[in-house]
Formats: sequence, C-alpha cells, structure tokens
Amino acid sequence: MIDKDNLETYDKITQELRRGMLILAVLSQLKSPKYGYALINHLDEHDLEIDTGTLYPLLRRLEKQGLLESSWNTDGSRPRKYYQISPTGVDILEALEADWYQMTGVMDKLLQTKKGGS
Amino acid sequence: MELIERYLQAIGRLLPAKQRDDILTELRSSLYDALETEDGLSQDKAQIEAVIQQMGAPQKVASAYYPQGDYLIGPSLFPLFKQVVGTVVAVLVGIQLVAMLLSFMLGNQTPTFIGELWGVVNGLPTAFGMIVLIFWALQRFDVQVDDDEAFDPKKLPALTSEGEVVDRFGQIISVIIQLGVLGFLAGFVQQGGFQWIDGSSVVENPVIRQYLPWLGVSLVLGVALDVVLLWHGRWQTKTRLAYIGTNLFSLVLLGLLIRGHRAWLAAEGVTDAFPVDRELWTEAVNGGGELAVVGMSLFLTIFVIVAIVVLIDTIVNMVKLVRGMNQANGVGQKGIGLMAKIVG
Repeated sequence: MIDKDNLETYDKITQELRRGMLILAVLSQLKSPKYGYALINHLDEHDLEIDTGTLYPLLRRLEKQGLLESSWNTDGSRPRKYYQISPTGVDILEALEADWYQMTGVMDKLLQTKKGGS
Repeated sequence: MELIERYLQAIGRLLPAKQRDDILTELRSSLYDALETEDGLSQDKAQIEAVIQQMGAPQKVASAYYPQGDYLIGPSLFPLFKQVVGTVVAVLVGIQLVAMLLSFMLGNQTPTFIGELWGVVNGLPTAFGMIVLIFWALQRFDVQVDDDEAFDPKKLPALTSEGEVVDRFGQIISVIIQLGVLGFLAGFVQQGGFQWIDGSSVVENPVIRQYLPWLGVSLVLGVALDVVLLWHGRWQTKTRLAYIGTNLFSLVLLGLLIRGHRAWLAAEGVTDAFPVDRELWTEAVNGGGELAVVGMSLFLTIFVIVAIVVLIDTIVNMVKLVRGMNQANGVGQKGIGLMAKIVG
C-alpha cells in the first residue's frame, strides 16, 4: 500500500509509464478513421481511460510527426475532426508492436523472477 | 451553452494563434458530444459545468498543446508567461507614455525627450529578463498554476466580441520599425542632426527638430497599440478605432513635416526636390554639392512615401471597421452561430 507521502511520486511514475503506452494504444486503434470523442469511448470500453486534455494534444502531436492524418467532416450535426493512421504510422506501429512484445516479455520474466524470490 | 463558449474563449486566449480556431472547433465538438443524450443535447447547467470541469482548467488544457520537453519555461507555465509579458510591457509602455505626454504638456520640449524615450525602449529587455528569471524559478521549484480543484467554470470571464485575428508577424515588424525610427531620432538628439550615409558629416534638419516631441508621441502611441494588439490577439472595435486615430494623428504630423520640408527647400531655391533630384544626389554621394538640400529632399521623399502608405492603411482599416460593425449587428459570432445550429 502506498502511503500519502509517496502518492505524488507514484503518480508521476505512472504518468511516465502511461505516456509511451498511450501512443501505441492510439495508433493501434486508428486503422479506421475516428474522431476524438469516439476514440475516448472506444478506449474506455477496453478499460483504458484517457481524458480529453491528454488525447487531443496527443493526436495533434502524432499528426505533426506524420504518424496520423486528419480531415474535418462537416456532414453531421457538428464538425468533427477524424484521425487515421498514415502509411508512415503503420510502419512505426509495426516496429513499436514488436518492441512492446519484446519489452513486456522481458518485464514479465523480471517480475516473475522477483515473485519467485530469487 | 454560453458557458461552453466562455470556457473556449478562456482557452483560446492561451493558445498559439496559428492553431487556435482548429483546436477550439475540435474541443467545442468534443464538449457537445459529451453532453449528447438520447433526447438531444443536455441543457442541464450542472452537467455542462461537470463536463467543463472534467476537461480541466483553461490553463491546463492550453498548456498541453505546447511542445513538451525540457525548457527554461515549460508548457505548464508558458501560456501564463505570455500573458504576464504582454501585461507588463503594455503597462510599462503605458506609464512611460503618460509620463512623457505630461512632460511635454508641462513644456519640457527639449530634445532629451526622444533620448529619454529611447532609454525606456532600452529598459524593456531588462523587464523581460526579470520576468524570465521569475518564471525560471517557478519552473525550477515545480510550482503548478493549473490547479484543477480551484477551477470553477462559473467564474469564467464573460464573452467578448470576436474580431479579426491580429497578424502577429506584421505587428512585430511594425514594432521593430518604429523602435528603429525611435533609435534614429535618439541619434538625431545626441548629434544635433543626422549622420550622412558615409558618416562623414552631420545633416541638420530644423523641421524634424520642430516636431520632434510629436514624432516621439506618434511612435510611442504606435508601439503601445501594437503591443496591445499582440497581447489581445484579435482586433476589437475599440482597438480598430484607436489604430485609425493613431494613423490620423501620424498623417497630420506627416502633412506638417512635408509642408515644412517643402517650405525649407523653397527658401533654398529648390522647387523640384521630389523625387530626389538625381544630379543633386549624385553630387552628394560623390562628396560634393549641398548635403543639406539633398538630405532635406531625401526626408521629403521618405515622408511622402510613408504618408501614402499610412493613408492606404487607414482607409483599409476604416473599411474593416465598418464591415466588423455590420457583422456584429448581423449574424453574430461564429461560436454562437454554430451553437444555434447544434441546439436547433
């Protein structure tokens, strides 16, 4: 159990852990176009909570890096900005997925070793 | 729904101008999505406040749009830093302007007026440095200003009319040019005239000397207004009126300067000095001829060109003022229009 004094430190570390993971999560879910709010709900359905203040700037950063493409759709009741992974983003996502599985594999082993008591 | 527009307005004031409209449209859409129910858009005040509260304080939302990384002043403090710099510069320039106008009205029309003015301009970097230092310390000690718990949507400032976005690049160039002219006039005060192009001699100009304080006032007014515009980021009716007023003041001054130069040249027997007489100019550049006549003729040419530019700028701004007022009386703001579309 984390005591009150260490809660802030824990929060900062969790944020750092989440930061990289969120990029992977977002890229992986944008193979078909989605607007921000729909993506938040979609991730929430998969038990990944992300607030609007984090998601929208992240989408813009990824777009600026050329990993996402966007377009405005004004057909509905209000204008919505749709995001979709770009060809560069697909390549990067593939590499990131491989890294992710490799890293989680290593971490699983490390944490299991710790649980095993050695 | 007015609360949402007030919230977006507060965020917009802290966002980079280039992306502002795009970001706000996206955030507006997201807020309305969050309020969507099976029966349409929720009008429940408490729910609207909750949705806004959930998105976070304007300061926090805006800071997330600035590049992340290690900075002297990081993204969480940068929007506030921008606001403070704008306010301090505007206040400093404003105070000095009032002080100088008082000094002028009390009869202190000596050439040191411009010299003092130049001193004020030189003092601005010091003020800027102090602000940077304070914010660096805040950053260093991890002081957070985006306290979500303290954020109360009910206390968001009221809506103001949305005007044309200020061309920040143009305003900065304008400030630089005007400060450059102030520096030029400061040189005039120190040397008793202007250095000739090759620095070989000083050209006196009695007409500029006569209107020196007014030139200073005109330039400081211009700089002060540019700073205010840069700070607000959008044109408003009052700033447009002030801009036109400053331009008209400059035009009157330019008219007096042109008339004075013409009279001076006429007294010297030169009546065809505009544009600068090529022969006179060639002689002067080669180190001969009447430097004073060429100098005055050159100033006359510059003032006529500037007067034409200022006149065109004034007419353009008058047209924009009338157009803006018509729009304000007509359909209304973009946000309100969109709001009506969504609700309707």
